[in-house]
Amino acid sequence: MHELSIATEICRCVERATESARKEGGAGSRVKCVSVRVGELSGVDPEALLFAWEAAVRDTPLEGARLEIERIRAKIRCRGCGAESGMDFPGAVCPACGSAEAEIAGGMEMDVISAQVEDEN
Amino acid sequence: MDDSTTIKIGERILADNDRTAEETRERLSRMGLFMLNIMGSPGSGKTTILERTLRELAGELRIGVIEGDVETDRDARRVREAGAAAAIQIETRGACHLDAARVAGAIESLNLFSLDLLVVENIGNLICPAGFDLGEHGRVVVLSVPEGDDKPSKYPSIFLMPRTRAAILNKIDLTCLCPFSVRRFTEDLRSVNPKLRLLKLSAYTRKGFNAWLRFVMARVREGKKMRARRRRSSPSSGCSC
Repeated sequence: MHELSIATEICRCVERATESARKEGGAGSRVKCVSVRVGELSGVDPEALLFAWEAAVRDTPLEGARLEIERIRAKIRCRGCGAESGMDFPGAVCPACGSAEAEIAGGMEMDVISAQVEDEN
Repeated sequence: MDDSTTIKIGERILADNDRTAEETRERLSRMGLFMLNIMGSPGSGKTTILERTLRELAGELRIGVIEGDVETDRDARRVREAGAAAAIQIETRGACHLDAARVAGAIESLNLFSLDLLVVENIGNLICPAGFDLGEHGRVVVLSVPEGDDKPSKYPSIFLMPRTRAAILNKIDLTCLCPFSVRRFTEDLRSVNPKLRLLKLSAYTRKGFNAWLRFVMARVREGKKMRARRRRSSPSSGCSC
């Protein structure tokens, strides 16, 4: 259940970004929605993350903010033929040419994309 | 009417952890001290492998160990008795993984200059620790025969991380007692990461252990080379601290 640590880190990251946006002026303090990108190979389970999110934001300035998770498919790129393909386990082998010289081209992501903040008025 | 503004962030979720890890790695690289992160399932034999390694290399290497467990300092005591030059226990009190800040804190209380190698034994878990960079230079993942021969493709992430150097299959002395096929296991691991080195051994009977010891010695040399490389690239700085 490391998703609680992940959720806490997302909060920290969003609070830092919204704080500086507020200082620059314009942005309000209520965060409505936070968008994150989580790859299939990142070891983060989206359902567990949503569950942890509710616990992480309780009694913080982010309470009530929705978490939107974009799941990124695991992808490999073949070093031999250059083909990109979805990675279906088991199979770190290029389905186009059969080469085992493939590298991960997607699925490891763990990024905070943006935060939607209510305008100050 | 839309009364909201979208603030673009575009940062890694674990950016803070990654920064701390990078600082740790840079500091150790400058000193020529390789940090090895031993990961794997609970009961796969991580501590037993470490104990035998410490006993066998006692006269040759000074190894510092950071032990991660949810509770108890039992493992730190075990590796100290086995001959660790220094051993520090991190008790996470419930957390399922170590993180860079905890490891950086533990490193503060070690006399790094007296060590040839630094080993972190992570919490026994094949999922949660995978995404947390601790500042290590390399990782090994330990699995064991009684766990079954299909684990790599069930828990692929940990075998795919860029710093994972090798997988250890421990307890190979038990293959005759378990429905375990070494061929199936090898194929399963290859299907996840064809380039990962596989070390098959028994920390109990010692079978296959020499290859692992050679792997460890090679990491020590790799650490020393890092320092030499850094000195060459910045000849003006005489200090290695």
